[in-house]
Amino acid sequence: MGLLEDARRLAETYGPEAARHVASAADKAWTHGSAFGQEVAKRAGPAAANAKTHLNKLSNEAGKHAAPIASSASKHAMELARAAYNSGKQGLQSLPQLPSGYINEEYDWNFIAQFGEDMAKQLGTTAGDFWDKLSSGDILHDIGQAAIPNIEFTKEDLSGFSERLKVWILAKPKQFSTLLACIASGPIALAVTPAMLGLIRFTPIGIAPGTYQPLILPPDC
Amino acid sequence: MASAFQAGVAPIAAGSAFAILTSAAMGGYGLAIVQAIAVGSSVTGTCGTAALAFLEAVKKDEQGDKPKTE
Repeated sequence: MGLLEDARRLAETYGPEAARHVASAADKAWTHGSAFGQEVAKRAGPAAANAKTHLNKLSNEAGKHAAPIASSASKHAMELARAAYNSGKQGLQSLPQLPSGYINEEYDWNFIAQFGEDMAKQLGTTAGDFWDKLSSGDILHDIGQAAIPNIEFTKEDLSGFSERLKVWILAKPKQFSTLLACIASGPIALAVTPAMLGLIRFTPIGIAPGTYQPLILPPDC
Repeated sequence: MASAFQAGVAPIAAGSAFAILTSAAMGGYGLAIVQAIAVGSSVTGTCGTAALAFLEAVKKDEQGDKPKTE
């Protein structure tokens, strides 16, 4: 967990840099998400009322669009995904209750495992770090309270959602874009960390006490 | 640094984020992730609050309630 602790500590100094990346991610989430939502609507649109019956197909589609990676699934990532799922399910006792049977344990866990693996590969870290970051704590708070941009959603852009959820999103665009940024910033927080380390190396104020020591090369290098 | 970031992680993370919320709205795998964020975050935190609000909207949608607008 040292990587994440470092990210948190360094973000206190370099919060604006991290916030700039996360705010940018919220915009990008919308750009990419809009295209994805329209694609989903194209394929499943007439069956929106019975969307759950198309869930496996949609999960596979999401896998293709969101995280195209090799087919090997990580047992470790799978376990972490299940742990996050179980944690969320237990916590629902104190949250607004979803109808019984809403959560099906036979969902396509492969997508989640592959998503974690892909993110870890992209970030040069472990699936464990990725899932820990995504599922625990207030990510935006961790990296410095990003300024979420105001995004103007339209019903057409939200074609992947039901009519009621479209109304909710249009009424509360800030909350929706915040949640988008929260999810997107999990991998981004990890990606920003090495960037922050790079910043530290070149910062005029030197290296923060107790963090990283400069790389000292032997004289013959 | 910025160009590598844009070309590498951001598109995947961003696309995945929207995919996760689309799935959550339909009761799919994304629901578990949003729930994990809601439970893992403080209810007063930015992410936790947004996740809880979204979950409640999904629940009302599932139950057929008329959504409230502010």
